[in-house]
Amino acid sequence: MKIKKVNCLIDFFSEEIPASMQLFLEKELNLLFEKVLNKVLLSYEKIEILSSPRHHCALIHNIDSVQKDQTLDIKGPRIDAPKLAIEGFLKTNKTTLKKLTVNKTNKGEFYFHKKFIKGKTFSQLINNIIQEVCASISWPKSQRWGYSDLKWGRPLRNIMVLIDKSCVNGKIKINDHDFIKFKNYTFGHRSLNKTVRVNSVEDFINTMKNSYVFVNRLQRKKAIEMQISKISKKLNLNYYRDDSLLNEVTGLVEFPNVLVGKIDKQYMKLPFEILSIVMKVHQKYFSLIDNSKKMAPYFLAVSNLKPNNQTDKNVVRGNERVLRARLSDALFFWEYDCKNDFSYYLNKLKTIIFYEGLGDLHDRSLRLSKINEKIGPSFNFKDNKKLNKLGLYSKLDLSSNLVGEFPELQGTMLKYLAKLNGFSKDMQIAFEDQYKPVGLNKNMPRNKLGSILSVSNNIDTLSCFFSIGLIPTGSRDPFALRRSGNSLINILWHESNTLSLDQLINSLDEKLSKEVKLVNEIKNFLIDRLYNFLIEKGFRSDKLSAIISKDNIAQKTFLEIKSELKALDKILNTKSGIIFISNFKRIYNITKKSETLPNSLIVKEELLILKEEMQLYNFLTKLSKSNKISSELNYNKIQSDHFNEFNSLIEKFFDNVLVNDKNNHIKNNRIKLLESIKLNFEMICKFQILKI
Amino acid sequence: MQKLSFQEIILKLLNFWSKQGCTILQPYDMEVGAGTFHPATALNVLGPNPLWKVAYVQPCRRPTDGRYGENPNRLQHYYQFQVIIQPSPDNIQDLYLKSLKEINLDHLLHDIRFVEDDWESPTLGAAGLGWEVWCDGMEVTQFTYFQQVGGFEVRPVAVEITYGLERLAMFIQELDDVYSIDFNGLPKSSGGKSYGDIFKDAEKEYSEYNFENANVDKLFNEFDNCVKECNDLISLEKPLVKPAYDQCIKASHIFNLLDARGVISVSERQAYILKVRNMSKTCCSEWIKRNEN
Repeated sequence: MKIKKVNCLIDFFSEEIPASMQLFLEKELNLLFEKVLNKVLLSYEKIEILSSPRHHCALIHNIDSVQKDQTLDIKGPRIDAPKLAIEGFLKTNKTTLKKLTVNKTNKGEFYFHKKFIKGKTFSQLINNIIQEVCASISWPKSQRWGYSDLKWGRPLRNIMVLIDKSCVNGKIKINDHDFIKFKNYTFGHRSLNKTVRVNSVEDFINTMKNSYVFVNRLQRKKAIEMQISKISKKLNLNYYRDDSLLNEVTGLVEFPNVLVGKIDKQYMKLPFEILSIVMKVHQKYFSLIDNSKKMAPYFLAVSNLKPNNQTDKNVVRGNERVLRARLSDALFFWEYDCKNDFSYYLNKLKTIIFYEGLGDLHDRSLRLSKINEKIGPSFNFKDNKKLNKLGLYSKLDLSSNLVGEFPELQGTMLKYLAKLNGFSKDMQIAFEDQYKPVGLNKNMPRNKLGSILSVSNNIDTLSCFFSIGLIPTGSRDPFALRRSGNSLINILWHESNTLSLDQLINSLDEKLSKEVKLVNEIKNFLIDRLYNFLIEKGFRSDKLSAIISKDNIAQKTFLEIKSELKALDKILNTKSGIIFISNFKRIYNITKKSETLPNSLIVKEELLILKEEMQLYNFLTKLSKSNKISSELNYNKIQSDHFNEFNSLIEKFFDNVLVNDKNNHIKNNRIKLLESIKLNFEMICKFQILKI
Repeated sequence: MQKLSFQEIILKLLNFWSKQGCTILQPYDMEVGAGTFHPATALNVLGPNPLWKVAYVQPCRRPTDGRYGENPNRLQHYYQFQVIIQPSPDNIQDLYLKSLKEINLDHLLHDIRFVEDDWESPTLGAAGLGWEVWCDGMEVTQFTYFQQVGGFEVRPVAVEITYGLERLAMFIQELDDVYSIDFNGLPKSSGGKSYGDIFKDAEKEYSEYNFENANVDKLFNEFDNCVKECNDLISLEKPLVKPAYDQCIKASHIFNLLDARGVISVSERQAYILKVRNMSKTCCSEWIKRNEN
């Protein structure tokens, strides 16, 4: 029989949930509903999650209106069990002996009771489903309210559940005595100040829209973007795109209304980034730029009120006044900061602690200078004077007022200070870019100096925190050291750098680089980062394991690792390469199976009887020589020349030579021959691991 | 319509919350950094009466925020309007919006927004979740559901609403400068006073005191004395909790002054905060104990 399908809506109405938490809750609700619905054996087409600051809704499309009936075979006592046991079984299952069946199992004959379970309807189950979902959310941060024991992101005020066209009664527990009862209404936009009734699940999104709530996040986001582009077009300007801001603002409004305000002329002399940060961080305003990419004297505020000329005007006027106050603060700091010279800031760094037990920022700057000088050559940069200055001045702006007020401006502020103090353009860029890339992000420093400083920053940070035992464990990484490690690997890989991890760690202060335990901790940490990084980059784990091992990876330069992986790809992409690998695996398996022969044993030419094994031996001699000559393992060299030759030799060998000869000497000699070939190739790469 | 004066805003809010059943208290008579320090908030949310509704104005001092009377937005002394309701009622957001309407900030005419801002007071060992409330982009209120005070769970949860009175007045009177706020709503000729008339001179003097002249040695001494006296009072056979808590408030303010004088290094800072927190924790713990008996 076909089960009737229904649609269901569950609307959780709460006080304003923070923007970032909305995204978390979307994922969590989706996951939990999926889990619980699967548990109760109800199938459905899909779950759609809607969310806005006050509404979080699950729309379940085409779900079974009723569970399937089930018959369970409940095993009872053995047929020769004591009477008491059998009677007990009958009692608990409310049945009679006649109705039981007897089944044979491998432990004898047993009584069985056929239990029929009638499927429950979805509307009977929904209450428990919701209760379970509510209790299972693993909030990153949550709160109680009033007498509640239940936790939610912010107080949960109303729940409405609809199946097709009818509201469902029910309640969820918030403490031992109190419940939130399901209502047959929800709430619209705050300005509407009244309850909203919804006719059917299908109508929900539209009904809410008519009540001034866009419950669909994407629709809301699109609406904001459309309004922004309309306004920018009208002003003949461009919108300075900022996705993180757009996402945040989308989580702050239910009925977006983009308004444009003016920035007083006197503040337009502030640099672009400062204007933009002040507007973004504190006020969540978007910026507009003109055709020459200069900041235009306007800002865009996204209000949560429906459009109305008079209120819009008021709202804009209020926002303009707030921005004026913010910018006048920023301008004051900017002008004050610009008056001071580098020596003033350098001295001030001595009063700022980097971290307790890790000295001040001046100490850190000195360390960065030294690291810069040591790693500079690997970036083909050898101007030591410049490298030194780059480190020494790299933290100056951290003692400026503006960065004190807006930490996001670190680096950018230094760029402007450097410009004022006559530093070259490449130094300015490096100062600004030193905090890039953020982890695995693709946004790299724009020049070599920036990359060098970024690597120095990160390796110094890692060694500092590791040296006082603050090492990330499990999910705890309060200083984002994994991100530091990722950033560093990201750059060295991107640059195909000629440093190895060992050399990088050696660039640290001598005192540190001589502490064996510490060095090993840092090294192992970075190896893990590198491995993860390469997996992220899409390299197959078998390829990585074939080339990388904990013993050798820290000695290889990034350039080498990169070219080895490239060469390996080449091998895997040719027919002869693939055949070679399967031949290698065959050799590998034979030598693995046979007993280990003493190392002293070598292949004896006089014991090679057949033509095929002689030829293979000659090939081996040639191979070991060539490997010795190029101590760098160069795949490209062995590839085309050797694979075809090797493949045909080994195939002839397998066709015509019996390894397990009756004569033990001959047999061992043959195994030793294969083993030598295996060892020679294994030096290059553990081919046996590769999946083909 | 004439714009509300500073004192009218206070009167309207007092009136409104009084009608909601709040007991109207007066400011605590000590220097505090926020209305939360008032024992009516800090101690009373931990018991003994789970039905606790109060409202009061609290003058606050934040020595490091002084700007010699030269910055139009920053003061070292300012006023908060504080509402504490325990347990937090279900319609508290609506009540709050109504209170704004009383002072002519109708949420149908202004863009009122609840923007995430989790609150924490390291010296009080207190934390809560909530928002800063924006009115047309201006932060006018801090709205917090207390989860913890003195390291102890607040049960039932209390809600704290803290209005920044100067910010509200500047917004309502449409001003860019705090000192030009109309304080009493009278024309100059009949004794009208601006905020600046009353406080500008004090801001200048106290900034000089806070940043340059406060006697550092004496303050360090006093701080230690506070810590000692707090411990002594708590260790009495019959502990004197409220007087001990006063010492904690005092120590907190002295710490703020020392901070403004720039004599507390970054690494020492944490240690001082911890000392104050321990004092407040002990007081809260003793307070809870007493109420249980």
